[in-house]
Amino acid sequence: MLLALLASTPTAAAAQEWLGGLAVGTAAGFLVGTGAVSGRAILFDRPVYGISEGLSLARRFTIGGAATGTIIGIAAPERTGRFARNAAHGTWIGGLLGLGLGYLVEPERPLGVMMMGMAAGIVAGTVIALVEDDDSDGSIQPSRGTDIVLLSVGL
Amino acid sequence: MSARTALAASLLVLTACTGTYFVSSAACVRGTGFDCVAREDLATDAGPAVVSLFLIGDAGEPDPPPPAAPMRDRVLGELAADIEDARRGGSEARLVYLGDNIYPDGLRDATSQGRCAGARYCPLDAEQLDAQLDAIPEGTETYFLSGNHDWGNISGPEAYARIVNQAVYLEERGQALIPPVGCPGPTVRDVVVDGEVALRMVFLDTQWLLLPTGSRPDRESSPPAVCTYTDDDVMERLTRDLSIAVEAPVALLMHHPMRTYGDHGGRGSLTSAVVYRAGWSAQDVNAAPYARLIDRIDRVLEQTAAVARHPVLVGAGHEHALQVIYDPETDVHHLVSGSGSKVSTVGVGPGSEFSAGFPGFMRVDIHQEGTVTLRVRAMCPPRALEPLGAAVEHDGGVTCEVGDFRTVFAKAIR
Repeated sequence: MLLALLASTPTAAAAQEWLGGLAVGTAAGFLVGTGAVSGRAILFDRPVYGISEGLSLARRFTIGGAATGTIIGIAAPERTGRFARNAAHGTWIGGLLGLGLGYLVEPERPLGVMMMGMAAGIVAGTVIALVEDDDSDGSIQPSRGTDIVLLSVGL
Repeated sequence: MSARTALAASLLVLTACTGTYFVSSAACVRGTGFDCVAREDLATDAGPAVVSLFLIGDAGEPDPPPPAAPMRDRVLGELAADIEDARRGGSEARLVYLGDNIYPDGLRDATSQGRCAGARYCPLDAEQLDAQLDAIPEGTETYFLSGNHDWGNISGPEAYARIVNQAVYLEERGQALIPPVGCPGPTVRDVVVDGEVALRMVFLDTQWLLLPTGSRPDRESSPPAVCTYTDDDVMERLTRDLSIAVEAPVALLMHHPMRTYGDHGGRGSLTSAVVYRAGWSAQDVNAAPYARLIDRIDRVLEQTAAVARHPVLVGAGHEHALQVIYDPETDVHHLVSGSGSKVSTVGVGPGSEFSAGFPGFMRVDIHQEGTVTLRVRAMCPPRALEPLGAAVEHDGGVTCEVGDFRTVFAKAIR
């Protein structure tokens, strides 16, 4: 949700700076990490044996996300805004779809499936941001094609 | 959809998922004739007790510094007084510490992660165990179960190292872990009165049973584990050991409860409800290993119910509250007594007869003619850092003075 706000603020619009990439990457990495912990527990039957174990795993993804965002901000600053926007879209689309799916298939652990959905959405959004054709005009207008792809990923 | 709308929608959905469990911290279940006001509601013609079993769990958290009111010290003091009272009355007293004897990471040593430099064992950790050892009235037979925090609240070799530390520490002080370290149980201890078994206690190490098979200590561990049971072995032996319920009451004792409506049952605080519904933790009843364990033990209890002529009780800690939950399918009373030193929010659910996030312990008396009576003994806790004697109002409309200690629930089980 933080990403969604970031995507709509002037800060995100100016997020071609590496600091923007770092901030968005850190938040995105943490959310992917929580999804990974949930995925490990629900899909692979490997819950954590204490919260510290879970946070340790999430921390690794947070650091990875921070590094990814920083690299994007430095190496491809023109894509940083797109990265922030796509990650935000991926978060809420994947999260809502994951939550709905969670109540259907894992009624005892719906938030876990939601977190997995958010993680999948962020990863998909990030990949798309890196590979889709560059608009080159620096605008942060939502790409309809991107939204459709993210929706499909969520489904 | 704008970002703000998405944010608002997400918060609404999240609250809906977890908001139904803002339960009171002292949900007192009525309908059985008991309430949360002190009232000795036991039939006084039950006769003298021949065995008194005291259950206290999760006593490994230190008290806050003065002038804040102590919780653990007060509870342990009342516990010791109750034990001495029972022994003066001619009862065979047994004290069981239900695990989580040392928060938060078990007994660390100089080689542990988060090491305590220069000390054989971390002084702060050892002090938690010392407080519980010092509370034991001389000559009282006492049993120490291990909980997830005693295993360091982790898995792997370091977890085993922590519980071995505690086992060694206890042995040096004339006590022992039960089941023996590295073994899942069941381990049986009978209380014999006049040549007959008056109470059978059966102990399980549920943290061992929750660990993935590959993470359990074995002959390659250091020190080598002497038990190499499979889960099937454990359940088979448990069925055999509980079958004595034909002749005598049985107490199955472990750290992790088979029924709970607190944090680990998804009905506690908001934070715990989120973690529960995220499915992260093996310490919650909806985690696959825990759910499987409950299922397996329930099947053993069902088999026991088919032959039992005496009460079967399941005593556990883990949840930082006092709960009495009756399961009519197995005719078992689940006694969750995990508030030896800390308390948390707790709710109610099917079978709840008592539920309160108050510090305390439970006492089970076996009487001469076989009647089993239960008392829940609890202290009025502070809400924040109020000192002893301060008036506080807790959720559920319970008003009391901090430190006031009383029987808050009582029942003749049979």
